[in-house]
Amino acid sequence: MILRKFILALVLSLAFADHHRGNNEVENRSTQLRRSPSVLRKLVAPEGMDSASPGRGGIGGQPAAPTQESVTPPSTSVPTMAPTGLPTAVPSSDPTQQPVAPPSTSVPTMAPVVLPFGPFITSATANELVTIPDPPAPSFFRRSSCPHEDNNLIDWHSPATWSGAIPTSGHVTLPENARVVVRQSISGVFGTVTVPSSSELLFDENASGITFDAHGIDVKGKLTIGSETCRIETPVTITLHGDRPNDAVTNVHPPIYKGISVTGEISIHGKRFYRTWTRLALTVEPGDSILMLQNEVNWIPGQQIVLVTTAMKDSREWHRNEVASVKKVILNPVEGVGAAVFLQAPVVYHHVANSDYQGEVGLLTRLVKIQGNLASEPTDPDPLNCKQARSNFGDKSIPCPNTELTGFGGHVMVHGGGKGYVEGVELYRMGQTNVLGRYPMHFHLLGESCSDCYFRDSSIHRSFYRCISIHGTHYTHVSENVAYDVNGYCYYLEDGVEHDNRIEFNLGAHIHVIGPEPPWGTGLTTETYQKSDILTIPADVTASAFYITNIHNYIIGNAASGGWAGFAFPALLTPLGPHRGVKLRPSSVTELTIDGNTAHSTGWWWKSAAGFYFGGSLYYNDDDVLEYQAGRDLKNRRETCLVNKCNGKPGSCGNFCRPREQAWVQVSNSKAFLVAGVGFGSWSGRMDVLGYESHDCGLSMESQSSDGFSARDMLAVCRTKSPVILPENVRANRLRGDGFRWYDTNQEHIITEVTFRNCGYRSDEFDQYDQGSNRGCGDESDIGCNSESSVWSMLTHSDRHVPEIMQGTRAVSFENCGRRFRQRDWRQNASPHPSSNSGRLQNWYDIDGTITGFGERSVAASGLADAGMWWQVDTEGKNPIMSCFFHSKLA
Amino acid sequence: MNSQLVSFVFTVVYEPQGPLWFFKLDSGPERGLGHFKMKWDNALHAQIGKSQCGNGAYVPCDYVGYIKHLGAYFDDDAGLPVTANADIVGPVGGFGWKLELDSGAPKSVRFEQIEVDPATPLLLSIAYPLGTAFNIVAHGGYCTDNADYKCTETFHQVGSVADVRTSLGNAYHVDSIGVLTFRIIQTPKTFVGRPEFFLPQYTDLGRGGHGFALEHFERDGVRLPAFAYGPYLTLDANCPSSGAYCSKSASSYQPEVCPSGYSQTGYDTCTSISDASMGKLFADGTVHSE
Repeated sequence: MILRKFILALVLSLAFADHHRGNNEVENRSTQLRRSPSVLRKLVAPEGMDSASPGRGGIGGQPAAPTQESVTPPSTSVPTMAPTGLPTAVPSSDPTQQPVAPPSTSVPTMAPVVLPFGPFITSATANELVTIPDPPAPSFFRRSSCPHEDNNLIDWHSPATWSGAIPTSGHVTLPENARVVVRQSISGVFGTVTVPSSSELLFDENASGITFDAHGIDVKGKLTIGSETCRIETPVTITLHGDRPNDAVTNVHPPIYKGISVTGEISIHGKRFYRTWTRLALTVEPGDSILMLQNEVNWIPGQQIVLVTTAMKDSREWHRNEVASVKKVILNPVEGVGAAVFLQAPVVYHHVANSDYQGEVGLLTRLVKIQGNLASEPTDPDPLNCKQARSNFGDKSIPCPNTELTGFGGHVMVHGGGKGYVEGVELYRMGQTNVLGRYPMHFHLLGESCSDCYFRDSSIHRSFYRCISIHGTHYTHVSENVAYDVNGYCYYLEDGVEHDNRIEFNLGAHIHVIGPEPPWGTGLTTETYQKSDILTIPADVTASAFYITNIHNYIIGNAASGGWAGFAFPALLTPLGPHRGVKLRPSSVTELTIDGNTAHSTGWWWKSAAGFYFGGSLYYNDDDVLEYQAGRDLKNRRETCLVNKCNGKPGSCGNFCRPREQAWVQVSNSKAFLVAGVGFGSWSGRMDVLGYESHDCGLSMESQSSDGFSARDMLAVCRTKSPVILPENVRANRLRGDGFRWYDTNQEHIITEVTFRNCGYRSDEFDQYDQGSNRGCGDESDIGCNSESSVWSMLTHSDRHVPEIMQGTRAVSFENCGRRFRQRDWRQNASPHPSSNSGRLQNWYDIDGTITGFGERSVAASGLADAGMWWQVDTEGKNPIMSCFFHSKLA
Repeated sequence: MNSQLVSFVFTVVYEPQGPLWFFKLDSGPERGLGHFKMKWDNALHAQIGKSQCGNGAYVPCDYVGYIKHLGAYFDDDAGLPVTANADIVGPVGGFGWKLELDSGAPKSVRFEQIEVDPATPLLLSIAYPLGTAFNIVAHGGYCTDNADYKCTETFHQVGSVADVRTSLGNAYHVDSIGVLTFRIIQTPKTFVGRPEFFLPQYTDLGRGGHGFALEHFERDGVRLPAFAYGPYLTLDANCPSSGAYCSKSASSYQPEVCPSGYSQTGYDTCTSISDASMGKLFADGTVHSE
């Protein structure tokens, strides 16, 4: 009955919406629900019935006009073309500013609208424990103050503007004290276009689109495309030209070389799309061509979107991301579902949306586009056929080392006191691999002078070097951006001095490491990497979506996929580059807010690489060469302190932050999933993790922290029981299914309010707590875990590094777990003593008995025979017969 | 799931997976955990990480002695092996720990990285040759005496082990056969007295009112002690020596910790042999009736 109601409501609402548009196509429209992919394929509407496709109603070959179809029930107020809460420009008198009508279509046909069958994951049910914040809804506004409509403009194409012929090529300098507007495409390719400090270069809106090609633009004055209240609704494409010099890395060319150099002001405001990314509400299977999204989107036909992978591995040579084109959008098709996005072609891969996690979908296309020319592409592409000697869970494929080093796209650099206000822009083929300072978007050494600057609701894809670099710049705002297919670290705080910036609601996906084989190690460290011509910033060997060298920033609501890690928080003992002398220890600063971030499909290359990775260190070595250690570095580690100990002579910060000065880093509402290594890993302490979910991770959490580490409100689902998407040679039972690992010595760990679900290996040997046939994880190739997996493990291989009183728990619950405890000592059969000091001394406070099962204050301690009766404190009810005290055995 | 069932039946259980032992803390009045690191033989300790006691390497880590809980209940147990890397952590609040080194009683011992809750006495006994005199001193780290703070405290001798137990942690006892017993407490990092020696609580402030006297890490109802680098405790025995050890043998030492009519049933517990209704007698002298 409910389904029937739904169907009816959908039909009525579609009818209402279409009627409102005066579109009679609805008369014959019907709706059917999908019950299976095969059924869907039978029921999907025939091609041609849908509203728009490229070249049909689009503009100049660009994405077609909006065709969102509101399915709001008829009882609501008059629907608009934009989703609820989305900015809808109120038409101005200019006919070009009228809402774009739905593209003309061919004669309507009788075609059903087929929607997938739920249940759906809504934004309210997307997370079990954590709260992932939403970006603020844009405000409605009346379109006004369109700069290209000003009266004092002079036309680029007017001979009066120039002292000679209208320029179409070569170097061009705008007249002084002039506001020159480009109202149509220019076919030639300019050299450097210089905008004097007294002048302004503007771009108009043109239904046919405007293209503008140059080798560089030197914005000493102002470059303007739209305004905050006049978002550009027609295509503007700026293409930057230039070849990669042979000495590109060692002799960095001036910013105007294949770039937009802004020492004045860049003010670009493309059409506002909201959301720029969201998450799936329903799993998409190969062959599907409809995406059900958790949130409304005002995407338009023809736009490209990326379906971010929900596989565990994400690397250039093997990944499951895919780019698709929008055919049509229906808003609110079902309660809790924000939008149904119809694609122009079926998807190829499986993209998961279940109650544990959901893949992201991001919008790549914008109407204003800045791109590198075709020659930007690397001349040393990865042949995608490289194998390493070692195996990651059975997979030896790696991105071919030292390839893809010649990508040389355009760049935008705001520097020299410039201002940057950029929104709604697509940056494509930008960035120049290993060329310092040449990134798609770069706020360079602006200090606090650019505190109102921003880069937001934009996209960056096919980047050859980073996404956005905030360099020596504070208080900027980087939000709601979508980044995909990126060489090197993406969202990037460059030198470690950057503070009070807001990095919010951004998506970064498919991030590629630069240089050699991705780092790994058998212990706690990896090889070290030095700055070189093929690895300008050695940290890029572990490129990840977010590179947070200074936590005194707002890192909120972002999503990371792929990369060596997801969110990398490397420790910098000193600032880098031009800030090297600054009296600051970046690794000692306190955080502002780190909240509501998610990471997945990462941590593939090393057992300790993590979705949230507080590790790695970048420093100048004894030879004064920039060097990076991806693993633990006790010399260069994070020690947050309330007091800046560097106020003396530069570079002399001392090493001791007194206990009363120590500060704790709070990381809240984090979520990691599909991480082969560790969901949340830290080589440093003074950290409180408040609210954390982990799903399908090798190890949910680990920390090495002599100064204290706590986790409260944690849900670790070691296996969701949803098949893990893996490379062909990899079986899930080669991956760990571990909960938390205690380390060996000098730690202070407190874990409270934690639930472990489906953790630990399932075996007859370790069935003392639960004998369910589905408990924990077993040998299954798709949902299994390796046989050493346990909920809790203790690092007890050492005779040298042994535990003190260093670990405590409260309110721990186990749901459907296999093996709960395991001492990790690979020398268990060693002679003459088959145990270690650390194994015999293992101990932990179980403050409420939820570990021991006593339900009161208790201790869990070593059960190794070599410890004698050291931990067998009394005879009262003592039961050394292992099989008699567990619930399942008693029952 | 299993917690309720287990809790009513047993107070100590063996967990085979870790393997682990589980035991209750509230089954005794002063139960807790204690930790220290001992150094008494520089030549021995210098081998750590080299020829002895490596980090996961297949190098030997020979047993050089044992430490065990006091009392007849543990007589048949060898105890916890002590190695060159003599970190000891274990249950405290009982009758005490007994240290026996294969090479003899240590002439000088330095205890550091001490962690123990002031509410849970950590007593250590070592058998020395009869007639040995002792100088036991607690040292603050990075400390300078002044009118407000004291940097060292020399232990004084008392007449009974019970007096040691209830002391502030600056007393020792030597019994008739030469067994030394003293209490090890966690002292503040940079002082031991303010200016008088005291048994610091977790609420006491640190020097100058900064921080806490006892470093600790506490979150969400769980508190872990944290040792400080700097403070230490020294024990010097004036026994005839051969290297780091007293050259003369000490007496065999197997103390009976329970009074007549009681048998030891735990590291901190004695139970009436004849009448269970008399309840349990604990190491702190309290009686708990059933």
